[in-house]
Amino acid sequence: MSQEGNNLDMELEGQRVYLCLLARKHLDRRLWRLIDPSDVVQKTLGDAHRKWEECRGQSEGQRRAWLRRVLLNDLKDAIRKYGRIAAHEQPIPEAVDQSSAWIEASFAAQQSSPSQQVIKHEELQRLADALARLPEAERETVTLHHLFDWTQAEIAAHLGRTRPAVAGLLCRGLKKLRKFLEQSGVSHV
Amino acid sequence: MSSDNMPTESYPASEPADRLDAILADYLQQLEEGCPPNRELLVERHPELAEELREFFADRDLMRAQANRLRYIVPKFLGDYQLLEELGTGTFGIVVKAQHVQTGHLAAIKLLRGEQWSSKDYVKRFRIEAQKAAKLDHPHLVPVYHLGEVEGQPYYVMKLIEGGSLTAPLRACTLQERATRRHQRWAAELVVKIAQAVHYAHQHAVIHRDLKPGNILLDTEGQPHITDFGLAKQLEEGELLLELSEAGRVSSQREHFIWEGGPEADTILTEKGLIAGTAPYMSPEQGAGQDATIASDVYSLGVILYEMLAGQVPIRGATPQETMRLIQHQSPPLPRSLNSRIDHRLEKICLKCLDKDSQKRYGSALGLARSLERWLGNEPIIDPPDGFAERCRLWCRRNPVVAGLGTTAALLLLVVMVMTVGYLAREAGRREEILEGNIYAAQGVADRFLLQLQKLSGAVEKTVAELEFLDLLEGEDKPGLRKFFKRIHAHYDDPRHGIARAEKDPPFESWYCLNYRGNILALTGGDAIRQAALMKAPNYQGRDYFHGALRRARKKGREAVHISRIYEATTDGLFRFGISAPVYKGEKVVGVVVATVITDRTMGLDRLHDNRRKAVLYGPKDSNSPRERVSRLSPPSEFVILVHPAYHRGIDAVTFPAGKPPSARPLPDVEALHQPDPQQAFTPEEAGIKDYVDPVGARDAEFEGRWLAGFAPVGNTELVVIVQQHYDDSIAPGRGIIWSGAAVLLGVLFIVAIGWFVLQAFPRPRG
Repeated sequence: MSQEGNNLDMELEGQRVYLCLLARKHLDRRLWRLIDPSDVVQKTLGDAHRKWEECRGQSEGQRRAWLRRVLLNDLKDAIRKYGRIAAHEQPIPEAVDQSSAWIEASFAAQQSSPSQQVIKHEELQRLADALARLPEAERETVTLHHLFDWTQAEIAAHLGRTRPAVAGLLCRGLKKLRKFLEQSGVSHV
Repeated sequence: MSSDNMPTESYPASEPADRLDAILADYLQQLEEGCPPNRELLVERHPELAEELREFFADRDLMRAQANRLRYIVPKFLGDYQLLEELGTGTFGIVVKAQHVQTGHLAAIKLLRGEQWSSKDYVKRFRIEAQKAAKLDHPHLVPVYHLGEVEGQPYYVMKLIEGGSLTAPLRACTLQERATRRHQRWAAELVVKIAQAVHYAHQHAVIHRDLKPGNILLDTEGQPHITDFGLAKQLEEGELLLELSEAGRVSSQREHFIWEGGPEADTILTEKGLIAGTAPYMSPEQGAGQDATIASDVYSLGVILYEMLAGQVPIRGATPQETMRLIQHQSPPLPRSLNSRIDHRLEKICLKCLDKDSQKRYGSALGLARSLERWLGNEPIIDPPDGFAERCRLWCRRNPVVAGLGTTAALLLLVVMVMTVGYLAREAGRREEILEGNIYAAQGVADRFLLQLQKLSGAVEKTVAELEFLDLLEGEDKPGLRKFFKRIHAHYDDPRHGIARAEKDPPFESWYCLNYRGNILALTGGDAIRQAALMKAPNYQGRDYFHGALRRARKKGREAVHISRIYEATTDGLFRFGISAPVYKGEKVVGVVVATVITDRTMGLDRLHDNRRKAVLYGPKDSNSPRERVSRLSPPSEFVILVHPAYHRGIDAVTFPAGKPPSARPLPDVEALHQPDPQQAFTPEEAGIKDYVDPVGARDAEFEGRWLAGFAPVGNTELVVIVQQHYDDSIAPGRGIIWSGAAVLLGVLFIVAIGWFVLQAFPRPRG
């Protein structure tokens, strides 16, 4: 039983970067300061641990889809909760609406689940696995710059570094990432 | 180099890693500002970091491609379309692969961006232009399905062409590949299709304004499709073009769709940030601030063709602005100076498009397409026109079989002609040589005949001088005379008595003795029937041998002997001639002695003929009647061949059918019978006859045909010698080669003819 629990922890831990990426993708970046995506992921992993019985014996793809549903539900809850709490703070209604719409769209896509979408999630998973092997700062730089189109200056402010330092992180991160992706056998363009 | 978008000069010369970071930071900064630096220039400026920079660019492109694929992991929609993945960043914005929600139909959506969309006026103008472009329907134009607007930014949906733009294959092409004819054909074929599509658009009053490899998409089959038709800004007259760094800033953060980077490198923007074109592909007049025309698009097509052939654009400066300035004034390097294997005719077509004077370019894109098609079909180009030699060469290339066969046939004909002329000349020389030899031989043979006649004459002269004979004649003792001549005949038949001869036959056929009236007193030789016949009609005063001898009555010795004309004997019809001499009693002629010589093969002469050369003796014919005397001064009516290799003794001799041989002897001087007179010899024309026909040929097949004959008179007699040789002997042995050559020639001509007809019947598909 304890052995199984360890395995489950490891498996769920392996999904953390992937889930973080997904959480950020579903939240407008103006909300990130208010709803920390990594907090949501932390909650999702806890929920998943508890409800793990639901997806016992299913394939990896099915387990991942289930995990996504848990995440989407948690995101929805987080936004709803934010709406209640942040009524007196500066509301960013369009960002909230936008994020909600994205979550709904993802739910809808989850139902139909076209094969293209499945392939894309597999690709994202592989990319997340490669990113997980990078040092924290490099992972953050590469992720924000390439997947979320942050400018250099924004990343520099976010990490508290200079612009050249960010460029260096990006350069080194990309170099390593490419190596890791090659190791995991991703075909290149 | 002090331009704002090149702040890289001031990097501290610290650690290379720090410098790299600084350079990359600047690079990213400029990208974010919307003026992407030229990567190649960057690498050139920092050679010590070249490897790292290239690696970074490769890693970055890989990551961007990955990120583009995953951009819409959270489903996003635009109108009826779900966005699937980002295909790339174009001049005007981003291109996204999308799927129609209801039909599942795949399409490409171009999202336009930039600050210009805040201007309602511009959006209106864009819509008009885009609607015009959307109506175009051509297989090589990317069809536009739908025009839309989202959050004030226009977008349009077009057919999805999967395969990428022409830029990538153009860059991937190596110098070696570009040197091949196949590559040039590929380039020409592609530009033909593009030019045709551009022409179609021109016909519908749509000018592209920004033709470049990036706007030419290749589908999976390699067929070109032009995109972004009519989307570039229509310039107002004299509108200024500003530095890139001050224009085209893209503040992408607040936008719904986020794209990285700025417009493509080399893009020229107007002061309002509108796209005016792409520097290296812009015509000089566009660069001067004038609006684009049909000729401008032709110029851009020329640049594309140039780039495909030479591997680089004709003119490029360090910055887009410098490029535009250079295009105004500088002539591009000749494509062949960059790739010497480019066909010079293709180069001419290309340079015609690039003329600075728009009037001197092709009048339409179709003109360019037609010229390229003619080049592809190996047909002479009309514009710019090919020279005559070029057109001949092209005809040969289009009709290689006919040209090859024709050339072969002509060469063969020439060889055969030269050989024929050579052989004919050799033959003519050989014929001349043989003829001269025969004339010379005829003179020798004539001398031998003369000697023989002299010997025979000597025998007659001696006989006449015999005392016994005179007594017998006086007494008209016929039996005594007969006995006497029998003895004489037997005497000269004996080779010991001086008349050497080759054959066993006696030198004289017969001996007669005639009295002064011409009656035969005695005769010997010949057969009994003839003897009897001769005795029956005893008077022969008409014969040349009789009165010829009488004419000699005043002469002495050898000069008294007469060589008669050739007569046909009444008795047996055979031809003979007589050697006669008068017999005197004192001063009075009492009779004539005649010794006859009959037809023969050699007339007793040794080795008269050889394998090739045949000796013939002929002379004039006497009157037909033995009684009628014919004047010696009158020309003979007929000539008879007396000695001939086809004869044997006592054969019926052959006369010349036309009465006269080719060379007739002039009447001899009767006073100098035996003296050979060189003055009397034949002229060169008479002495040598090249196509002599031997009358004996009518009887004997061996003597048929043409002969090379030399003629020579025998002393001062009327007899003539021919030495003749077959004409065919003169034919050079190489004649066989000529005939076989001619046969081969005929064969080749036949094949040429067949090949020609086949080509006529099955015309090759053109173009």
